[in-house]
Amino acid sequence: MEVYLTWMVLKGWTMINKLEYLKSHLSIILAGLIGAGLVLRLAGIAAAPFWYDESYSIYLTRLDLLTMVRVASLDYNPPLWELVLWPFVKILGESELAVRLPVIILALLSVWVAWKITKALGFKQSELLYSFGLISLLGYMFWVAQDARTYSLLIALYLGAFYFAITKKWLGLIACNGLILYCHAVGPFFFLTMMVIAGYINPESINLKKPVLFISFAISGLAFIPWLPVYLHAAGLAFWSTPVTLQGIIFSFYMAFFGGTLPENIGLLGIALIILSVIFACGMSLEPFVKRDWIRSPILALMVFALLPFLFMLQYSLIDKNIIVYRTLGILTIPFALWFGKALTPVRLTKTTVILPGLWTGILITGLLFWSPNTRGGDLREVANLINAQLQPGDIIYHATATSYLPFSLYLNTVNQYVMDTEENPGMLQTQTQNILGVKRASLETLPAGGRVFFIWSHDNIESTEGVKRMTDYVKGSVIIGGVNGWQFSPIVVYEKELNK
Amino acid sequence: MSILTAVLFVLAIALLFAFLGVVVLRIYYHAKKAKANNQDHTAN
Repeated sequence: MEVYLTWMVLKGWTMINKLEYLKSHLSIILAGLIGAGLVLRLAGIAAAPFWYDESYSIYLTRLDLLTMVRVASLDYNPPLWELVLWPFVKILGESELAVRLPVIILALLSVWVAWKITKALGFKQSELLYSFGLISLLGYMFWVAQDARTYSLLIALYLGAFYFAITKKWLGLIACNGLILYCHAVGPFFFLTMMVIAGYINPESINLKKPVLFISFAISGLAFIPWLPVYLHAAGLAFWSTPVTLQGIIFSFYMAFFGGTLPENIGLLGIALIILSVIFACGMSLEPFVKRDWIRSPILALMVFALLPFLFMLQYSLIDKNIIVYRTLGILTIPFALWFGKALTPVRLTKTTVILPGLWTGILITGLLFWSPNTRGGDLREVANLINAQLQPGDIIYHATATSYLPFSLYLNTVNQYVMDTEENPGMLQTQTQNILGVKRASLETLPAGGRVFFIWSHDNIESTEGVKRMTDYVKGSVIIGGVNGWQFSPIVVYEKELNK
Repeated sequence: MSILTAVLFVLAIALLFAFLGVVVLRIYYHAKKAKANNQDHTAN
């Protein structure tokens, strides 16, 4: 591994050094990079099976529009994503391609908006290369582009809001900010950041006679009023979360950049690289202050764009619940890439200035070597097919919680599926929502004992004590026949048992 | 959540998307106009 590490760094360094001679070809390299990024986002879009979070959205879109909105109000996040997904599912069906089509469109749109931002901020060719090298090839970017969840939408809207803020298109800013609030529970932190950026870039808008900034943000806020009572209620609910730790934050940042594409040893280098880049970028972003030219500075605007939502979320996490996870930080990956491009691109290529871009090049290539789109949902499809191949009349599929029921039910060819009828802890799919979504709940003892039972148990760590106790008793005497593992969800274990025994 | 709130939610989202649509169309229109002007200058 050490040999590989050395090779990787040298390789990256050599490649960057060669760029000195390839300056006249920078635009071709840039076009190639962006093209590769787009292709890699598209490649294998239907390869991974759905996992719980994706299947929850699919189940919601099976409802009629207004019922869907009302059911979503029982959850923590506003349902803008499901609203966008709803027509796609109704028209194109529930295949992986149909469900992931809107996210891939949004991911490609995000690259285009990022490009527009760089043009509006006057990025030099070499800065474009740095930023789009990261945007095009970072592992998490492929990940989020194929994950049918709200994050691609939030990324596109956050980038759109920034573009409209720096180009003084207030109506666009109102729209994006309003929609950001409807995307996710962390929306207000991005909303507030955009208010700071819009005010900083357009100081004339903070004018008492013509307060454009406040009016536009007030309109966005007013549009959120229908959901405000639900939002405030959800904010007060108990929610499963881990304590805030430095280790947890670093891990979340690492995943928000590389999305689990790097092997362990190289992953440590990835962490070091993120930390080093942030430190250097902060240092370089002080330049406008040194030059006493800090009004409307692109580098400062980009620093706020990348860092401020994180600082807001950190503050909230320290006061209340921890909301810093890879998903919420992943919204900032493109802003970080743009900031790094502006702040870290060396003016002259020397043996010292080339180290950081060289390491990034090496690590991006490594990430590409280890990226595989079909590992995202684990072996869920294979395990479901294994069960399908063995299914006989009278067999029962029994899930500990809805965490496994929702994704497995999309792949298993039987209606004899049930979830254990316990009241689950906050953070798990609640009984009321399960009933509306058509999840069948039952006690194993009440089911007709005929053939075998396949127990599917997602070890979520937040299951109720009663549920764990009952499930432990149920699986006694059974045989483990498979499992589904992925870094973003708890391990799922599948057991088989003859009921007559 | 009442039906009225759900309807208001859908309307608010539709309004925001309409705003976004208007801005995008205006950008497209201005870009097209600028391109046409450039071509005129080139022709002249």
